[in-house]
Amino acid sequence: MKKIKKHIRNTFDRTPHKSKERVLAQLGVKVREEKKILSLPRRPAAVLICILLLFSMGTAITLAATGGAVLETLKALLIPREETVSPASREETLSAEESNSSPYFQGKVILSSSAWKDELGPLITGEFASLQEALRAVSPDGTLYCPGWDGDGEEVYGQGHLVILLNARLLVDPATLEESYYPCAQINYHTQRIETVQIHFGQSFVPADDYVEQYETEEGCFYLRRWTHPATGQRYIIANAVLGNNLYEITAYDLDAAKKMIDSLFSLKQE
Amino acid sequence: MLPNAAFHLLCEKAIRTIASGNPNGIGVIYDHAYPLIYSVAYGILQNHADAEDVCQETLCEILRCASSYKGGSAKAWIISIARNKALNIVKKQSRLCSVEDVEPLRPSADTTEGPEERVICLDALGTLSEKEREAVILKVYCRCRHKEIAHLLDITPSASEKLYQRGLAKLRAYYEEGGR
Repeated sequence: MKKIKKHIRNTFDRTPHKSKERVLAQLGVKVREEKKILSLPRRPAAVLICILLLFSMGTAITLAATGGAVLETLKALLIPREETVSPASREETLSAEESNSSPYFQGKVILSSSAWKDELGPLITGEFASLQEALRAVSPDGTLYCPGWDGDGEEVYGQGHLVILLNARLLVDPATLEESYYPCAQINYHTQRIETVQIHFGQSFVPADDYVEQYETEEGCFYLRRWTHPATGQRYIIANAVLGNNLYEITAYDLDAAKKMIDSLFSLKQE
Repeated sequence: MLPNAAFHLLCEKAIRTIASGNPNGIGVIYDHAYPLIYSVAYGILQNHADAEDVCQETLCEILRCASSYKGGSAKAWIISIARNKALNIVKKQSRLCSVEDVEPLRPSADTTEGPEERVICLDALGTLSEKEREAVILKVYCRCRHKEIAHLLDITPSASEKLYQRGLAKLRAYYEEGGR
């Protein structure tokens, strides 16, 4: 019995924690940033737009794992699809995915429910056989989902951003649960440079009372919802869509800003 | 972890420092109470990521509400906040669309921290019911008395003892079976 108690004490004493400096810095940043956010003008023009580039479906994506990262949550590996999928409606895409038993999928997808990590990792809410099954599980009628946001959540929410998750196929090595990251690329709207970023899935549920409206575009329909940052209390509008085989998410301070960002996305793509 | 009396004095002083407008006290709370907060959160959530969220939110809450601390056990006050934050996450997660056969996922072994014992211990704790796990962690790691555990879990002290004894018996059986 003494040994068991000792094990329990050792386990929690030695559980890896974020460094004190990081935690306190985050608390300090949150306190300062809260004031900063409250004082920001809420005009759409004040929202910074970060636009992500959509690569072609046939492009092979190289996965890179960041050295030194601790495997604390389970991640999935995106495998590029070899065949090109022509743009399709959301419903058609879902049914195509559903019927495809998939030579690409070799494991299970695990989505995580924790969002406030500096480390990348999916959020765990359950185990699913495919991304589409996961999406349907969190949004039974398939209308709403939240694919996630990039590594430093606070920074992203402060700016407003667009995330495109490529190749809606997820892979996990069930034997090793090997740590890896979703490959993703973005175009920095201001520098027009292509950057590789690491992203992970965010909270994978949408309470019905947070739903705001749909925003139709030529490319497809975005679903807008309210979301509150649990630490700062800042309210945002998040817009999601599945267009073709890709998942989109935009975060903005208000509805107008979200719609302008959606419009900007497609006008930039045409440029 | 410090002995109870020293822990209480340090944390109470830190809380009062924060309440007086100096946020530096939170560093002292991090130094001495972070593992305690984590253990309480993990006991409820069984998820490293969520437990760390709770730690962060608890420290935030302490910064915000230090002035509401009216004396008494600083440990119990901090644990109450951590528990409430963890239970909020549980409630929030219950609003998710239901997914069948969801098993709580345990954090993978951290090879730099003596993984095997830790993973076995977390696995063992995973075999307990939520209340048993909380009672065991609060008693063994947080060194709470059964009266304090009873107050935190809203049960009687004798129920707390029973949960604790049952939890320990299950852990003993788990270890005797070789961990699997």
